Amino acid sequence: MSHRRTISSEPEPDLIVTSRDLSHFLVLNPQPADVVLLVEIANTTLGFDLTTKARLYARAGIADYWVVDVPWRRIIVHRDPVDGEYRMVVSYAEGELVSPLAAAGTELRVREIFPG
Amino acid sequence: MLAPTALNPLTLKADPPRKRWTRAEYESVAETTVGQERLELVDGELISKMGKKRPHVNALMLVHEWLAQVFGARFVHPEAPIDVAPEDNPSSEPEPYLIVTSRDLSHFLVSNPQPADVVLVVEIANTTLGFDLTTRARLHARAGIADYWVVDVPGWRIIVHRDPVDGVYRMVASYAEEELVPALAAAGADLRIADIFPA
Repeated sequence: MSHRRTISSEPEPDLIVTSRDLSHFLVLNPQPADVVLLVEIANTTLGFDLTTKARLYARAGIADYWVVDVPWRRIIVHRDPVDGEYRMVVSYAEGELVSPLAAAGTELRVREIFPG
Repeated sequence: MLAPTALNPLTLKADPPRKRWTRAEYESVAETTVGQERLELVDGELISKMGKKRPHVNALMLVHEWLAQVFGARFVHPEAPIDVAPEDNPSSEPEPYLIVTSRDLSHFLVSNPQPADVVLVVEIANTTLGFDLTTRARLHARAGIADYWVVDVPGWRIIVHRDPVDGVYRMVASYAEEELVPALAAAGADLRIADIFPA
């Protein structure tokens, strides 16, 4: 997180992907520049994840932030953080495909993460 | 001038009285702002699962990776709420760091795994070792969980609990460093302790 915010925030996202493996993080937390994808799973926390947390991650410069909206079976993808805001926010529904920014050739079909 | 006086220990209580939560109350607050914190309900107390440090995270990642290789990724559930013994369910809904079920996630689309579905429970203890070895161990033993591992991060060891009888584990063994822990439900697969504590 940006230095100013570290004082009051130490978020623990549901999942993060780092550009280097865990052997580089034996002691210290990953820094924002290490994080290539951050995923929050929202069941009852959707509003919080789309506002307070999105601003926190945008200020930190996290390039790819996904909110998995469980009740609505969709993924809301946030990209292009500028001046503490994500300039691109796109919702992907069940039939659609999402590619991580850091793995452009791979696609996740949204339906596959909502069995049943 | 008043001299400083020692506090009379008889007037000190170790702990303030605490509210014991029921599962119904817990599930209703979990829907509110409290739900932004990662909590679980154990024996009427709300336990925070946040504030992990890197050695804890790394041990969790490496145990998870090993279990996924041995049992298959869809049989290993991170932070999944489980039901426990019927008499404990009204005051407990624990969320162990990892559980392994005998059937894959397609069997748990709506309801929590029941104790009979759970073949292994893993807790990662950094600051919670005493709690995990006492209150939590009794809860799992009463539920009849056959294999309960406590990963002691500062101690670089795993404390394995087996053979639950009358709410107590009759076998408790500590494994360290080069020792191998076999998973009860996967004969032939051994976890080397040193492998989950990278230096």
